[in-house]
Amino acid sequence: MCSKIIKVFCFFFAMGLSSYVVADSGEEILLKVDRNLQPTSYEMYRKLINIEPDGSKKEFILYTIKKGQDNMVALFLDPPSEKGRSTLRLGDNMWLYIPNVGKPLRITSLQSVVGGVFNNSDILRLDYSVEYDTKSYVTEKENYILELKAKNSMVAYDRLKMWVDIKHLVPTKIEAYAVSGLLIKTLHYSKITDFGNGVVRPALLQTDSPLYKNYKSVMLFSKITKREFADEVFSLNYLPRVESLR
Amino acid sequence: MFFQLRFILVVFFISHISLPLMAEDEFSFDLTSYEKKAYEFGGYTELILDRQWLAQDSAAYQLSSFSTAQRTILDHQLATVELTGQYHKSHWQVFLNAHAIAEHDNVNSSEDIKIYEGLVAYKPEPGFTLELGKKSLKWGKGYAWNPVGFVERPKNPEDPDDSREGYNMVTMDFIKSYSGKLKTVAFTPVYLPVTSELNNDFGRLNYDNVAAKLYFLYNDIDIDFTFLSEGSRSYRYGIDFAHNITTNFEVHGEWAYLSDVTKRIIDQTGTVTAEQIAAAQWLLGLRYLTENDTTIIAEYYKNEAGYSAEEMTDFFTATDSAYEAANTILLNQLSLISQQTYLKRNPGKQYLYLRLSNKEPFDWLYLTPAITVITNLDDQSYSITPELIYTAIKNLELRLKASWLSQKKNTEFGEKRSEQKLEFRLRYYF
Repeated sequence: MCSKIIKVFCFFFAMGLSSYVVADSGEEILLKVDRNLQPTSYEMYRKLINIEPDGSKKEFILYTIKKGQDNMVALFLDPPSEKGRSTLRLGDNMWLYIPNVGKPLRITSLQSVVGGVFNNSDILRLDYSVEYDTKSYVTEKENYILELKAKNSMVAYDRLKMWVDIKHLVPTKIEAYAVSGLLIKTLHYSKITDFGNGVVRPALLQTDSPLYKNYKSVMLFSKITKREFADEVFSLNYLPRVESLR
Repeated sequence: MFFQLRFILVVFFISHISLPLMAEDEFSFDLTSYEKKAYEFGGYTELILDRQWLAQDSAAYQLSSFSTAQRTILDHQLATVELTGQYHKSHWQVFLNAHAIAEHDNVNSSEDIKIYEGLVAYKPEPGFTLELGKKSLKWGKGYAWNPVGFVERPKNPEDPDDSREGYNMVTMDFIKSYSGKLKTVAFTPVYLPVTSELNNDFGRLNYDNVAAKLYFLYNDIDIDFTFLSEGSRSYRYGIDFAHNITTNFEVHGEWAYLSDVTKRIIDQTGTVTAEQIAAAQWLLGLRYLTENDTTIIAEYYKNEAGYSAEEMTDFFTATDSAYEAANTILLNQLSLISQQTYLKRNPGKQYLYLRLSNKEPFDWLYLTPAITVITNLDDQSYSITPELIYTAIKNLELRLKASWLSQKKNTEFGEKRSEQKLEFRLRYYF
């Protein structure tokens, strides 16, 4: 009897201890979300679809590479009017290279090179933990709900509210707010997919915005593959040659 | 025969019925058609139809039309095909950009085919590239003007995104990345020979010209130092910068020093003199995105080698006098000289460029209205160019553009050949 009591006590103690040890801080959850969404260095293909209020669609195909925390390039493969354009992000710096113009132009994070609801910071998104601090989080049913605050004023959104699927540790919904508290847009992640090599994450991202009523933008992900790149690839001079990496 | 027709009808029916069924899976992504190929082709074809309302008392009109029939309206059509192709193999790449035009107006017709770019590139590693052939280098950060663009043809501020013909050259590109405040250093040396056969419109013949650009990304600021050796043109050097101040606000600037520029001056009698001067050219600009999604681009441009309002007035007076006196010898001479001087694009000393554009305002789907204003700040003349771009159909871009030029006599824009212009452009990308 006594040993049974001790066993039960030990079990509950162990349970309590393990939950204490396993429970992550908000920052740790965010780091895991980042790693689950994308490897540190990788390449991938994306399709961006802008859906107009009349239901018509505009589609863009992007080849994207990323290295480390804040180096990213996206190359347009389609449509023909955009083919060869490429965008580079180094930290808070962003450029757009247009073959005809022939030189990279600085762009800002709130602009959009594709129109629609996605802006440049959505298209060249860095890890969330690079741009945001976790202020707090709560657990609600199958989700953690994280309150994130921008680390500086160069970040596109001042505040994010992120719903994280506890099982897969990937976001399911993100609300993005301006400094004024205005809801700028809502991002919905879905279709959790195994991309191979341990990358299991949503393959579909949809967004809408009260600022763009009746507009909707969608991002589809494909072929997310870990790959290492030279640092020099992430430079203005290399932008016209990104195609050669494919 | 009947069977074949029925088969075609069935295929047609199935293909059209299948569209709505496919639409149900609206978010599919098939990558197979985007696999990389060794060969790639692309480009666009374009048709421009424009009507110009001519200013018969303007200097530009008088110099271009003194020997032809007088008219008040000029209709012009321009068809363009631009074809780009490239071939990759291992570290090698061959690139070609051919530009063909055919144009016609009430007076003339012409056709032309040019190779804008044609080069071989060797890229053994990301940090090094060697290119040999015809290349259109574009230096500088300015949107409408580029004072530091020492080895390129000048851009058209009214259509700065248009492709331009390059020069034959050898270039190299060295890139090195770092962590810390200095993120990137890149060095681009250029060798550009000028002979009677090669690059003969670049400047004085039989010179080996060397140019270079040294780029730094330091503390989130783009900085370029540029240089061109003495040779076909006088030696010149410059610096430019660009920086994002906030998430919706960018600033940029350029400054160039030209050691020796030939400035040809035409006085009121039509006498031409030339003086050699050293001159600085610079610009400051910004790009700002407002809360209602309007993009504003503004640039101030100063050219010390440009013509003052008084110098421009002297030239216009000389032209008026020659025209009234029907002095065709002098008119011919003025016409020849003015194309590279007083009547070239933006010959004055200081300008203000302003462009506002807004994508799909007021729920106008597929429409991007924009307005561009270029002002000569010395003589207060200006051009106002509103435009509408319509992109509802995939790969097809329609643009309707109008231009109004100020009518003040003896000013740059008041003495242009047309006082108004309406232009329709259809461009199809493939």
